[in-house]
Amino acid sequence: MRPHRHPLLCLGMLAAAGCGLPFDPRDTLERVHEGTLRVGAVESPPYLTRSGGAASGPEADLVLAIARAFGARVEWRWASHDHHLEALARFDLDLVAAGLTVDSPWNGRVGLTRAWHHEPGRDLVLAVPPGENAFLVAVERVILSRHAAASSR
Amino acid sequence: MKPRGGFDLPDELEPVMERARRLEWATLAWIAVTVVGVYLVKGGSQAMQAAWIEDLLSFVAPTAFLVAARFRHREPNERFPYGYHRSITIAFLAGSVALTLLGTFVLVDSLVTLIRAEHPTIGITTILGQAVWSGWLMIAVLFLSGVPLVVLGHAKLGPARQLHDKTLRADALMNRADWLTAAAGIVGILGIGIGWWWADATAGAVISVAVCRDGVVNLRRVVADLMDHRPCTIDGEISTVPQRVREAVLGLPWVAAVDVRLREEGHVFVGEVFVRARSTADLSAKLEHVRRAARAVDWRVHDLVIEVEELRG
Repeated sequence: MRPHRHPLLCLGMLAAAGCGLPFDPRDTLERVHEGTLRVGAVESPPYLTRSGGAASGPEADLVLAIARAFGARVEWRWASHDHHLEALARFDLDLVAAGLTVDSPWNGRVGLTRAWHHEPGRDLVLAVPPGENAFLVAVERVILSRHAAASSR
Repeated sequence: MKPRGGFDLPDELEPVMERARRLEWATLAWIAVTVVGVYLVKGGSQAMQAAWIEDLLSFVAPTAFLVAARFRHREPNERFPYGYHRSITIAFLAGSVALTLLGTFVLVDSLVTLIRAEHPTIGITTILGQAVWSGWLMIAVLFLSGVPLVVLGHAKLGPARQLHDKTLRADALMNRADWLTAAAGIVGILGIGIGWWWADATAGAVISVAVCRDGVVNLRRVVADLMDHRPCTIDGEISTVPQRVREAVLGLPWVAAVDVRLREEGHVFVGEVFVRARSTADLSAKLEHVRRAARAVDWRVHDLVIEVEELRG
């Protein structure tokens, strides 16, 4: 492909860059924005522990930070690991916080974020619905900004 | 057993051969870079996966050409009295089979992904501290890896034509068609960006169809070659060399009738000439005349076995 022979294609690409690609096929980010963030939680001490209906721990703090960034309220749902991930793949959940690592066999069937916590031998991630790339990018930006804040302290 | 004589490229074609060799080394180097680059950014994209497999298979043709270029200096010997030309054709056969099979595999994989309605997930990468959607990175890699290959493909067509080298030509055409891979991949990833989850698998299917097609076209050519088909020009037209050799030998005064049977081996023609002579006096000189007349037709006419029959009455 020679750029000077395809000016329209290049203009299109530049326009798209400005248009805020990527988008969500199922509009997850739009729905969650100032709405409800449906989170599938599984107890995974020390990262996530149940306290009543809500959760606490570093992973829970991250989820709350994400919800704050979207102006959304969190709806915690408690069930098993596989139950939540199947629901996520069906788009019945927006996020799964279950002490998942980057080696999870669910990679590909659901989306995995970049690592929010590094430990020798395990990189912890959150799971998002498959293909919801705008939502994933927004969640990853929150993770990045928390890393930046933590390292500047 | 008597080994066949060796073959030398005419002097004026040596620089062309050198240029072709340099271009093929450059191609191999660039593909090595591309294979690593695409592997690092491909993520879960079907289109990138198909492009990566196509890049891996692009090693085959340049390698076959460079090995052939080395072997052409090797004289036929006791063990291989007919020389080493065929080994290259066999290597190219293996490559064509690989192209066809892997192209089919990726096509099936892409179609299954489409049928299963799998949504590709592409997040962000940090480059120099900046968060960038990984899709942009994939598009950049596809574009940057495609452009040099297309340029190299164009550059190799000239030498391929001059050397009558079908392997080089096949390689040049496949490289030149890489624009389609880059374009399809880019469209696929932009499609994912727009929210069309099916765009990536569709692009992967398009790329794999192109790979399959390359495989099948080359497979047919190589099989015909190995079956000693009638000589053809580099464009696939029937070659006029056999007819011209026949006419050249017929021009000799002592020749009553001539028939010719030629086949291609790499860039050379080899075969048999059947002569019906008015008289067989001074036979060795006459055979030498036939050989010279035939070789004068084209630089590629190489090893000929001449059968002479004396016309009775």
